[in-house]
Amino acid sequence: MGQFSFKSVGTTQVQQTADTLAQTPMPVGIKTPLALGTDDLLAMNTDVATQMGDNLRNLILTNWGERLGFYAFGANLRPLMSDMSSQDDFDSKAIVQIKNTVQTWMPYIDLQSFDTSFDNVQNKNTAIVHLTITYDIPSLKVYGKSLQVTLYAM
Amino acid sequence: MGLKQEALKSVRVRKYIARDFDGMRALLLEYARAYYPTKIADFSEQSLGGLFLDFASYVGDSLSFYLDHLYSELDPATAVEPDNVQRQLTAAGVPIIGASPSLVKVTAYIEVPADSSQSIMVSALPIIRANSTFTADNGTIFNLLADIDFSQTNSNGSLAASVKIGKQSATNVTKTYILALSGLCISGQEATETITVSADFVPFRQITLQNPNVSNIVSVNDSLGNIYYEVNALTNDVVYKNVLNTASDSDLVPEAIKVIPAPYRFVTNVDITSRQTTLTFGGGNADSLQDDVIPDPSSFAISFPYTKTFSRIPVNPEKLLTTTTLGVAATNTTYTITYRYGGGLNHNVIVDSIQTLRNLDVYFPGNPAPNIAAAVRSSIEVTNTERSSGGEDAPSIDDLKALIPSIRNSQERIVTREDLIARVYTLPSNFGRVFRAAVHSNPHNPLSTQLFIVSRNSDGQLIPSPDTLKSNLAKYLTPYRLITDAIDVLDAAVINLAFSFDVLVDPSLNKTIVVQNVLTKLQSFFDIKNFHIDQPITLSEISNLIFQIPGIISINKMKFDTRVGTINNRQYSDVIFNVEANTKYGLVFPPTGGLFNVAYPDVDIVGKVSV
Repeated sequence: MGQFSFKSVGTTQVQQTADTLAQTPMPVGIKTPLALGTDDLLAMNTDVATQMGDNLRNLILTNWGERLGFYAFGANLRPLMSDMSSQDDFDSKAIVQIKNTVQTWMPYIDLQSFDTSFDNVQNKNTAIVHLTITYDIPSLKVYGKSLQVTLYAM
Repeated sequence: MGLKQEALKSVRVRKYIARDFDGMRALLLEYARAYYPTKIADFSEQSLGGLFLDFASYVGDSLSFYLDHLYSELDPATAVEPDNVQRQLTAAGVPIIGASPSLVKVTAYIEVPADSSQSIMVSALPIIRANSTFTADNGTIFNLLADIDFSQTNSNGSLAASVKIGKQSATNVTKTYILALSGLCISGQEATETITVSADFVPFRQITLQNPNVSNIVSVNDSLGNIYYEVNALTNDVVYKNVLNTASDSDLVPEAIKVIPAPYRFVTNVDITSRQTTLTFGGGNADSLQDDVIPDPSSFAISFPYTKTFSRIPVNPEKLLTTTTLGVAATNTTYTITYRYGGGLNHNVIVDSIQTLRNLDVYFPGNPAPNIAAAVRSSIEVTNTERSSGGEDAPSIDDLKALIPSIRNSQERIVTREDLIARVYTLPSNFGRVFRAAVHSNPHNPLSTQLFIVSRNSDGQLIPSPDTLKSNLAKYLTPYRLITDAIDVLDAAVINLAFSFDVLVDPSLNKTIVVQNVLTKLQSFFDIKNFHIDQPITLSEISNLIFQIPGIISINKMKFDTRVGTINNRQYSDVIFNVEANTKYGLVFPPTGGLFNVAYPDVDIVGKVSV
């Protein structure tokens, strides 16, 4: 039996890779709004569920014609916002549009609930609409996630 | 080994095979996954990473498209942008034209009183001047191109106009005569523009005319009295002008070519989109370098009076461009540009539709009494006895592009024999008409070519081409001729032949009718339109023609004889020809530059029936 010093004990390559991955999570996608990152140039999402939430928010905030190459990308809520005051069924229309676009572009998202709240206090002439959406991502076993987006009536 | 692996790691594989959006996006995605797997993973369409990929692919796709587009624009067959098509057409020498006008011969009729001897009152014969205008039923305006001079006479002294007796008294005393004379008219309208230019020297000044579809620049003058001539290129310093031929052969050649210098000149360009014409004048400064064809560079050198040495003679190169070698650009003057414009298919009007006098410019050189002049003027009527033709709508861009290959092949120079023959036949008819032309090498001079030509008189008989025609032809060919080439214009030797035959005819048929059928067939065969210079006669072809006539059983004899000089008031050429000596292998060969002709087929083709 030999005698070994602990100073000369290393780690296996597999263990080293696992340790590295555990310490620095793998970036999945670019986080929005854009911000400077600490390790990378831009701040990144490091888990898939967060990245999907980010993508979902961008999908809802995008209007038709804004996405290069995909004219019909987005929930296209701006037209609804522009004549919101004359509409009694804003909620139902917004729900339909959000549901349709999610089914088209992010079918793996399972929408659960939709809630709106209007804020007329901050600006008398411009209404602010807060949309709160709860959703599941069954393929990732993620349930009960919520997302709030803010829209400004014109 | 480690260094090699490091070197390999630094080599990033780039692929350049993608040309469109999808291909580039796929390659970019592959590249990102290969070299940035730990940096970003989400390139889905909903993500920002996917958006960036789309941006890059879109830029690449656009660049690829424009690269393809640029290459397409280099080929006239695939070019689509009007500016590029215009450059291709200009480079190939295809003239861009607008709608073409229609041409028609209009006959003018006048009623002229008889004089005391019951002859035409010559002093009352008017001239309907060029630029008089007539209107067709559909409103198309026709301009008279040249004067209709009713006092014009032929070489035999008789009036060129056709004359009929007009009014007569009860005692058959002729009171008036009806004269008819034709003149060529062109459709379209004439316009004049005046453009004032400042005293600043502007080389290659350009002036764009307001009206599109300009068919002809009639005249360009300036207020200094200079006449500007249209040339194909500003390097052309002479133009060819047609002048009235006053020589004895004026019946056959009405006009002669005169070479005149053109220091004041311009070229025209037509915009392919608007079909507007732009005139580009010369680049020389008329004030400073009027006489300098080739400038003296030393006059432009900057002097160094206190310097003993210098490395170069500084010369302002811009001054070398202000010579008269590319024509003169006048300054401080007013250009007056007269031109004709308009055309199209609807300008081709039917017979007898041009009958309205729109603007009649009549001149009486004989100064008749005012009442006679007024009566003659009021009697003028016009009509077109033939349909006008030549009117065409402006060719489309595709039409013009289709012309490029053919125009490229036919460069404006005479290189081959075919080029020379083609040029001879394209001599404008008012300078004389060559009926047949043939080209041979000169056996005595390797740098010279013999051009044999022959013409026809008004009766359709072959005659040696008039001297004025040869002179016109020489001037016409000179610009197309290579500088080392010489062309000897010679008269073709016309060999007048007579043909006789002896045939055996089916006894059951009428011999006279059978022979007449043969004669008719042979007269058609020997029509001069079927013969060219140097063309031999094939005897078996004649035999075949005779045998084609029903009733011919056999040919006993066929014989050619020559006709020379004057026989029973029939004029033949003076060329003596031995038929037998020039018959070989069943072919009768003419001498070099010779042309067979049966001048009087009714007399010179004789048939006989053997019993």
